Amino acid sequence: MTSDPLLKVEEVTLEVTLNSTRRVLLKKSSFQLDSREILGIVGPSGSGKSTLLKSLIRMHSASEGDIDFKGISVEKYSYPELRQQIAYLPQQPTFFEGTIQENLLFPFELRQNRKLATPDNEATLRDHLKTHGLEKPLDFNVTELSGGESQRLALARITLLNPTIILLDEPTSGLDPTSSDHIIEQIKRWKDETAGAILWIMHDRSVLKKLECDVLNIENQTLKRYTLDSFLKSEEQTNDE
Amino acid sequence: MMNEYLQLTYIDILLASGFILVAGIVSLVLRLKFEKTLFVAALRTALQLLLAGAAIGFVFDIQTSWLVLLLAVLMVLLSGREAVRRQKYKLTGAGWDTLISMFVSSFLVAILVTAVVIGSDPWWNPPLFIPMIGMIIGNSLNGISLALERFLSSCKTQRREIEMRLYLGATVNEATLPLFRDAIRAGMTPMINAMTIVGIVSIPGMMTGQLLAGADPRDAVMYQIVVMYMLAASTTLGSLMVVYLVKRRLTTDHGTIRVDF
Repeated sequence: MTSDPLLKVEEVTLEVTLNSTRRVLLKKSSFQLDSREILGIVGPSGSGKSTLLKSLIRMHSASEGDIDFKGISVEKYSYPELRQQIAYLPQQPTFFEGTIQENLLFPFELRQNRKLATPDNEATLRDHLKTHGLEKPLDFNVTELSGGESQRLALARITLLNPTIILLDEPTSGLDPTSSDHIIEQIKRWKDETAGAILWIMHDRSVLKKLECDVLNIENQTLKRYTLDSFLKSEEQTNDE
Repeated sequence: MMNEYLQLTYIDILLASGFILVAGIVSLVLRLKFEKTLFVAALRTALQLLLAGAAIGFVFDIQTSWLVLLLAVLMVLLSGREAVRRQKYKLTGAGWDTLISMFVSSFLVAILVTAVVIGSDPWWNPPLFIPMIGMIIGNSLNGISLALERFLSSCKTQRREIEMRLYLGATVNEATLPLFRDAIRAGMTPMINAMTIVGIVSIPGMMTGQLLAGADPRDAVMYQIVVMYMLAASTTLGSLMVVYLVKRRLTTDHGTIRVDF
């Protein structure tokens, strides 16, 4: 007996409307994502990588095809539930003006997250931050965090909400190698501890190598899946030609 | 005698036009080149008000309820158009939301005031109902425009904050709640400021008018209090409605807010 994959994307077509002209990004594309799996998503700018991630949490509507999460169509979930289960980390995280603690605890005020266990004491929060490599006082103002620290805080905020899948939209772009490695380590640890899965948009091939993950490449408006080795080889060949 | 009401004659108006002459001389001496505009404006003041007076005299004599209501509807439509024209953001359908909000807020409050608070019989008695709803419309218009503009502009400027809340599991209502509150506050603020300073810094036009017409100051004050409260209610209701309707209009069927206006 084979169990359902965590996420199943079947024959999905994605379109965007820009200046009142429709443009097809992906045509009838499919892939699957299982528990404890990391998939790197690569492709040229504007090829639809972010739109693909957004369509999984219905921040963008697919024009065709089916997206199933845990064997059930994403359309059957309420938006808040879907977005709590499948967390999305944008390229540039946004926070409210305020302290680290306020920003970490804010999501628990939302109706969807009220049933989750709210971290009820400051020691728990501090430990959580520490495992995410952020050793700042809880009353530290978020506007004073560096780019790398902001990404770590954003990741800490998401993992506190206990998602099943994390979608990452180039979280390491613009970060120095140390900060970038930090994010990679956190994500790997999160995956091992929770049996969660990750979709990760990236440009940097070195990140791909460090993650040792399979690759989804957007080519000619479709998704093609590679193992890491075969992807790197195919790129070498293209460069040689 | 305090309550003596001095009727003005056309001779008095002619005398008063001497003030316009003063303004004209200033314009001539300083070469403001304003004489012509000033003259036309002064003439328009007299003509428009005389016409309005004649119209009001005619309206106040109407004894048919539906005619009075029709006139009130017309007043809402005309000022609603003005509110839409003034809007900085062109959002398709927002004009309807503005009109509906103006409509409901002004009629509801005007009818409550004339029928229940003042207890006029009939409640649509033109000399009471028409000036009351006129005042309400003017104030609602202001509150609704302010609330709408604030909401639309913060949807644009706070787009990332809204998205962040949605990503973290917020409903559209939860994600826009801070903007919603802020917009209604923006709509209500001028009215609350007016209520705070009334009688200290300014004596409202309606009260001045009643006093000049020889009304007992106590009566004029009581009316003014009712009017202020009524305006507070209608601006609040109008702001609330317009922001609610526009928020619904901007909510997409996939649980996001669109900002393509």
